[in-house]
Amino acid sequence: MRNLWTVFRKELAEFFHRPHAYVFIGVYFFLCAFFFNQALQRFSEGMLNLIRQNPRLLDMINLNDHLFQPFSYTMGVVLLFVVVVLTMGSFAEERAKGTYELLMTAPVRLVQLIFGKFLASFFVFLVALALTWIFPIFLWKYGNMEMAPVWTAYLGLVLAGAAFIAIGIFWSAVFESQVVAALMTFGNLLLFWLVGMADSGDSSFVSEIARNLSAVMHLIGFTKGTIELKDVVFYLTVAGFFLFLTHKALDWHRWGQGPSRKVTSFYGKFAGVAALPFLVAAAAIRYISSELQVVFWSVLIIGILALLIFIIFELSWVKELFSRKSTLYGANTVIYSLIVTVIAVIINVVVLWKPVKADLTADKLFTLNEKTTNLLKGLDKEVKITAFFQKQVIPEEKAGEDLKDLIERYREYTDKIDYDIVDPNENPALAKKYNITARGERIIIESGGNQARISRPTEEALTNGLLKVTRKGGRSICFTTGHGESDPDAVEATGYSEAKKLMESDRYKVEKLDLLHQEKQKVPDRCSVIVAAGPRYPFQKPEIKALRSFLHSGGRAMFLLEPDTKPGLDGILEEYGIRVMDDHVVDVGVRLQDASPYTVTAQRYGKHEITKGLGGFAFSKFPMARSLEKDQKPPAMTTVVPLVQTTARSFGETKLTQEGPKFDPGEDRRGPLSIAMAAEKKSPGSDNGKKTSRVVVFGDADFASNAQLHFLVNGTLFENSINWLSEQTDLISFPAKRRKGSTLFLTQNQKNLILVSTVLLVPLAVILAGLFMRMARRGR
Amino acid sequence: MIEVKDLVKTFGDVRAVDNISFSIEPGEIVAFLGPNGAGKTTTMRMMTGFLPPSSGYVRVDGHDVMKDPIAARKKVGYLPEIPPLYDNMKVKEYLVYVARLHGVKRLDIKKVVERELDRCGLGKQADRIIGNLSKGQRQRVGLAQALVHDPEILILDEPTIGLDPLQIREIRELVKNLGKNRTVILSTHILPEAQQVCGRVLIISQGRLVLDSKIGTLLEEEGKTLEDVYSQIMLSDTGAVAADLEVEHA
Repeated sequence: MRNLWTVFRKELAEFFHRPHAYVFIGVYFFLCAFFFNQALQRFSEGMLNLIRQNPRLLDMINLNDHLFQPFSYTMGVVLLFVVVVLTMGSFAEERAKGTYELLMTAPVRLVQLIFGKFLASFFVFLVALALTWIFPIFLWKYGNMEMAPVWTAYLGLVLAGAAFIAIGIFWSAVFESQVVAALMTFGNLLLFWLVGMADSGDSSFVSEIARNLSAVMHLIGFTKGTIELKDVVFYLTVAGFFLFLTHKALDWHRWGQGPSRKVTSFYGKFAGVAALPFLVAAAAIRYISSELQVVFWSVLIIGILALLIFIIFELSWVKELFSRKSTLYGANTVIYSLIVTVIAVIINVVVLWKPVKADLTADKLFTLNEKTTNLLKGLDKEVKITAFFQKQVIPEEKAGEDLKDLIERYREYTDKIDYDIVDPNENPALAKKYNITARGERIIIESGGNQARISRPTEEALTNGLLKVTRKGGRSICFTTGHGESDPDAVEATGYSEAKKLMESDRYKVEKLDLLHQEKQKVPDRCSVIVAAGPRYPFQKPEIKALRSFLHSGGRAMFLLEPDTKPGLDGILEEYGIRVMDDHVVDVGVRLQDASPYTVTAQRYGKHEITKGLGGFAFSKFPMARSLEKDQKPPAMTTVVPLVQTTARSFGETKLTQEGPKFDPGEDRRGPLSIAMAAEKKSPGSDNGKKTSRVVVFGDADFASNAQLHFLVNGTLFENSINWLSEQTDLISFPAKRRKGSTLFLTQNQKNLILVSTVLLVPLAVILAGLFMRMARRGR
Repeated sequence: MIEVKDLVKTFGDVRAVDNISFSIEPGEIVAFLGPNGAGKTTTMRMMTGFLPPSSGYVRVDGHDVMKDPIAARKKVGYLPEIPPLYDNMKVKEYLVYVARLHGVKRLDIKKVVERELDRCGLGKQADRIIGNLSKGQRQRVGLAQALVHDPEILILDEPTIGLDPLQIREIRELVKNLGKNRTVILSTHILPEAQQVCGRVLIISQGRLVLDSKIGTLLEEEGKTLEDVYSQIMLSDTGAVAADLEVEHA
């Protein structure tokens, strides 16, 4: 321990006695300051734009999501580029100058040496990082930013820094030349960064590997305000692994000859120098445009090849490994290293399996609702999510990224979900196949032939979408038969084939159901909605019983009841507080030309899911309808809503005579009358409203027949009714999770203060400190 | 004190050190003699534990330098061919650092460093930056570094190389003095140096130990000077390059 402390102190002093620490701190801070001011400028402009459009939209943006999160991610990327300053000398210089011999003949263990050096570099990095706190402090002082994500972001940066430094120290231990060590470190980190770009936003194995290997992707969770075990473990294992390799590399030098003392081969040197601009160019291309895929990959591959050539030419010890001399020790080292690699990988994979996460955001933004996790744990069907978003990584267009994050969080609980986020520009054929439009829904959830579409990547939408496509029981619409009903297969004017087509286009199955001859006289499970389309003759007792028990267990039914018929369903409807009147509705308020007086043309709709969005010129036509009446006091747990109403100048004619319709006070009911109603009833003892039965009753069956279905909104009424009926009430609603809007209004003076102090004053102070130290120690 | 047994070191196809055995008793001053590339430095590096031998072993006071390196290293002070100095450190800082590395007690460090500065004639240079020192001064800092933990064994690799005659004499005197109460092994290719300073000489050629003799014995019993013996060996040794023989008088 004392040795470690001795090495640490000496290394630290060396950093500050020489320009290294000042260069690192100054350059790192300056670059961060540059990006900070840029982000600030962008945020302010974005805010002004929103104010111009609609001040209420300001609630949509906040400092955490739109300024600090991307900025802290950038801080990690910047570190990737400058960390070499702290590491390139650590062992390379000792070996080049011969001081390594001093260390290796002193009673100091290699481990103490490596950790001493590592901690010294790490300390300088921490000093630099501490200085950058000035940025969040500005945001906190001038805006109302949430601070917990700042702490987690810094934790992430600290861990990432440790990993990066370990990588740099390793390369410094491999090569005697500082320049080569720096080059290799830089190339290594760049690869570590670029590998994340092989993530094409889906659940394929390659994407999965890319995501979990990328040195900066693991930073994202931290920058958002969560601490995930997998990220912590990743950085710690990378740091530990490379420090272990450092030990092995130094050992190896002692046992074998080590790499040649000089960079001797021209080709090797050339390849090494060439690799760098190619890797930088690849990163730049990727950053600038996502469309130059081919160019990006070719440039990247050339860079990697050059790097490989460089390694092969420069590492005589690679050849040495397989030659006679150090083979025994070399083989040992390789086997040992492989074992450690495997252990490191296993640890990371295990952590991926069992996700552990601390969500430090104020509203637990990144923790899934219990209802969602329960659903996911019980998921037993394969689900495929296809989404269409542009792959721009600019903060303003990050719906695709948000969705990916969200799905990845879902995938922590289930392995049944596969996904693919597609750029519609890159794959227009697929977008066309799914009928994707610019303004429509862009997220498609599919499972076993079912499909649901959602527009925004929120937990509520996604969970409900999953529920819709994976729920058990059929989606069949069952038409009763045997009571003179209209036939869904009949193509004549009174048939229902058009209605069937309409339902099938909504992905329902339509079938006919003979209730009397069902097993155990039960409605089959596959039926989600029962439709009685104009029954003329009464239902038998067993049929009524079957219908009743179906409804009691949360079943759905639509009754289309023509005047002058007695299907015997009054008892069932009574349970919903609906009475079917024995009349013919006449409405003189609205009358179509040439229509019979008994044809009702309706324009007034109740407030209900089914009639939502109807209005204006939304006429519907009912040839011969009977009226419905709602109980003054509906039965318990029941809500009844009139759907279609006639005008005040209508009445229910009870006696049909030759002279035509005539209002008989006392006998005929006066308008406005209801000719359609929707009712919902929670079954007693049901939990969470899961067993909620629904019925829709129309006092007419012809409106949905082939002759009338295409009249204005008739089809819509029918379709909406079916949709509402088949909808499950076990859908979940939970409070929307979103950061509260937070803004940042800076006066010009404040802006200047931030700019001058960050871009100018602090870096200047660092330079001055360095110069002061130089003066103090010079010339002695 | 030091026991070297069947020591071999190969680099690729080259046998740099070929089966050398000898032992050194406490209080001896021993010269390692041989032309450049004979294997002196490699042998010394193995004796300090810096290089692992391909086969054979080195024991320092009973401790195998590979199996029990920490205990062995504590007993040895080592000055490599190029003094291992940090150019940005001050002389005193550097010696304090080395003293700490060698586990000198906290309270003794100041005393020990003063002692070595004094002994190696660095009193005036204590606060200077090492990078600004002259070659002779650097060599002396290197020596001070090897002495700072007061080792029982001192291994010096070409301690006088590249110095001017005056500096050479100073260093030789210093080594002689140091040899009064410790074991010293120094390598050189300067014959008179070996003759003046050391009591015993080991001549190495092409990795093999070709002569191990007390200098007194050589002169008294065989009536030969070291120079005679050395040139005889080098010329008779097939393939040996005798051109390297340096008859420098200081």
